[in-house]
Amino acid sequence: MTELRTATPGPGPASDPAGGPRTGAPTSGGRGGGGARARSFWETLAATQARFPVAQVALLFVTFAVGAIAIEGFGSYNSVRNMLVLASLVGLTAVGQTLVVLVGGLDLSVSGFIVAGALTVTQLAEMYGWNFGTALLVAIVGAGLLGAFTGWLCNRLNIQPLIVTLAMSAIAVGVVQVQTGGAQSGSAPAWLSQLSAPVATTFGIPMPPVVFLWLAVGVLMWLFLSRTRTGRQIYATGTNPRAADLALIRTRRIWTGVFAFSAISAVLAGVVLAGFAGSVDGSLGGPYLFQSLAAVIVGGTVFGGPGDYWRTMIGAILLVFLGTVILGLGFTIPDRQVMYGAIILLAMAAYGREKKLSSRI
Amino acid sequence: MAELGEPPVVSVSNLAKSFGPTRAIVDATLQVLPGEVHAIVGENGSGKSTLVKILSGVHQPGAGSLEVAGSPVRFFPTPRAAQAAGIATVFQEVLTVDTRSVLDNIWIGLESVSNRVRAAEKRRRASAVLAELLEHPPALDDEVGDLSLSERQACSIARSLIREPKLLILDEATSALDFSTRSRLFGMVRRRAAEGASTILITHRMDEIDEIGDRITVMRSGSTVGTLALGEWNPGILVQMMTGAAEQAAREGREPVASADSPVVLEARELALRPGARPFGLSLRAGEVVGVAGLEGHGQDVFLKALAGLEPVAGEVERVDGSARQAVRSHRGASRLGIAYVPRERRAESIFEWMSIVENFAIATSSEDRRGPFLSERRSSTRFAEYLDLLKIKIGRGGDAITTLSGGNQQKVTIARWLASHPRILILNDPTRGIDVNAKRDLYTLLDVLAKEGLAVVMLSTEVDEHLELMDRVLVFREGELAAELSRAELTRERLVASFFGGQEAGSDPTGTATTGTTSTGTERQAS
Repeated sequence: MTELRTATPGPGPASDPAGGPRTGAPTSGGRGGGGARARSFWETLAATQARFPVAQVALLFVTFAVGAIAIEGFGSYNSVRNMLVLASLVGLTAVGQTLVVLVGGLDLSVSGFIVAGALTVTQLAEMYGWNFGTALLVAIVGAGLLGAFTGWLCNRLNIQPLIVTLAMSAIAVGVVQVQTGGAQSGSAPAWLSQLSAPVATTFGIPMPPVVFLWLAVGVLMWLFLSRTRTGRQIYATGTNPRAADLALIRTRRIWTGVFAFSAISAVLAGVVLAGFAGSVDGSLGGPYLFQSLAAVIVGGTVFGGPGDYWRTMIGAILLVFLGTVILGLGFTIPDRQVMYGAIILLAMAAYGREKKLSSRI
Repeated sequence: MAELGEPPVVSVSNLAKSFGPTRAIVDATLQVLPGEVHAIVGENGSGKSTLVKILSGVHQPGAGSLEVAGSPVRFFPTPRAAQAAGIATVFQEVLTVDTRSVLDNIWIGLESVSNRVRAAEKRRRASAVLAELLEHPPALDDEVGDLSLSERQACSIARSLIREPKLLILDEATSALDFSTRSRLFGMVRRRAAEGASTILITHRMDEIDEIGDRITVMRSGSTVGTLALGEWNPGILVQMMTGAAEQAAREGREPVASADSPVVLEARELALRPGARPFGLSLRAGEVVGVAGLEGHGQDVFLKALAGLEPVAGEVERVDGSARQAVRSHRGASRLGIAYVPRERRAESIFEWMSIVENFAIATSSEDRRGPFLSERRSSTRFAEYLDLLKIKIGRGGDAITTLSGGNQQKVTIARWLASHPRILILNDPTRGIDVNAKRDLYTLLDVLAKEGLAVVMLSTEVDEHLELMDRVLVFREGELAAELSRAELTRERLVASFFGGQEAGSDPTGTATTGTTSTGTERQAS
């Protein structure tokens, strides 16, 4: 035969170890190129990345190092504590969003329910003379019903959650604002402010309770997703809804439940945010909607799975670190917005590629 | 037939290709002569698909050389480059844009701004190809999503044929086709061969190769182990080359285990699979293995789904347990009554792609793994272990992603998923489609074991050989009606195939008359 054409530098496939289970012929197209050795390195990395967000954690350390070197006081305890408080707030708003993304949806009503929750426990409570507990209960039940309806509707009629949640967001805010007569100021009770005030302490530890609350939520979410039957069914529903149906999973209930959960968790996050912000108005939720979604995506949770809430936690910390460094280096808040957007695009592009790799291996 | 003397259309030598640690192709050499139909056979994972994907420009090889029409060329960097060189490939997965018309689907990718084809010309050529390929071609403006699986695959085949390629590659592309479309496609392949165009045929079906193959190249574990010319092969030799093992003993049919004394476990009455169809009945006994056959889309699928409570049809399906009778009204209800359904499309309907092997196994029965509020991973694994031996499932670790397994092993895990629900009736929708010979053998053995344990099995299969080998009786469907029922004694290849088409020699017709539908509606019939 004629020329022996080798597309790869290095020893070529004949020297590859033949180990590993024999797999079926790969199904998706992939591009060649790259030496056999280099490729197996990248594939090992991709496989590791699929189990643990190596890239995100590495970026986290790099960002912190850059910040600590370039910005005075960035590495101090106070600064780190403040950043963790901000990350907790972002993380708490992303609890429901993580589940929604896992079942393959998207929840744009997070901002609306944050505002609705915050307004309910501040203004409505004041207006009607409810105590805090009653107000909270009203908010939770209301949000749960609206969220459940969203999930049910999307699944039943097979429509984009994008649009339904947008509509639901408007309804949630509207319903509360009608009650308050459009007056948009309310103040949170003092104890609520203490939950997330940076100078607050938790049982003597100089770290505000919201950080520990977040950690507790993280542990519960981890147990829920990885150890419970419902968690497993959420993953299955997101991965392959049709197979899930055939495997006797009640996928409509899963959708209904997940969206109800997302609405309730947004309301609760709104309550915490009300305490953090002190006063509440309609713009409270906006920035958090975007950041919650960014935290989910950057953390490495993919639409329809795989993913996990602890990944979102890493994503939230990374976002806050990056944002702080950017501002500290003299950039503006609009610059930070551009960066957040770019990060989301980058993350999506990376997972697109990763998915391809994983189906090739 | 191949003409000697002319250079091969395509010739690859010493091809190698790895995906990470997996060596998909170790050493492959293949020559395709002008005007020949060249079959490639081998088990799943033997490298057939990778080989044709390299020829189609989808993958780039690690090593090897390529000649087109006798002159050395670079491997095709993109599918477009392969197409430009006259190679068109149809893959097993049905690749159509379901929201576009038949016409658009056939011409997709062929047009560019610089190369426009007049609308009338497009329609003329598309309908010519479709008319040759399909007995009842759909209208060119029909939306592809509304067509049957077989018709959709015919559209993607038409897309390749319209390019008039020098080399047509059919990579398991016939498995989705119904019988008549397949026959017509083979007719076209033969006509093309007479005109000097070549075809590579990858298939798991020996009868297809016998039908149109000129030469066969056998692959095993990523290497081509030999090429046989017409007359040099028989099933024994091929299996031996594919497996590398000594020739397997000729298989006898299974011994039936069910008898007239075996208890009835399921009864269907007055089933009409489509409005106006002649209703029929069925009673299924423990230990019975019943085949469901017919041309694609003639009601077999609906029948299985009706038994599993997935598709509401006129009539009644009842689970019988001793003197207790309960109607099957929903899939969940069916499952509760001990009826398990293994769907047809492994990837779309069964597999949770990135989830682990054990998770894929346990998903439908996870309530058994509950320990307090949590799931016990260990209990899932323990339950799964029972099925590893029974189904001969080969896995690395249970925590690996399901996609690390071959198609055959994925299918076994899916079947294990449903066996774990301890069904009394197992409904299998074409379970051996696209899986390798050994995995098929394992499944046959399994069905035998399960039948001996008293499980009743209803299995749809598109392979005639499977019916001959496995089934106690075969129900043949035509146009949404039960057209014939062949008992084990009556079961021959000729009779079975003839009954697909309503031939007169279709054996004992269920109505006792010829199958020309003389019976009035409402005739009730009890099987066996």
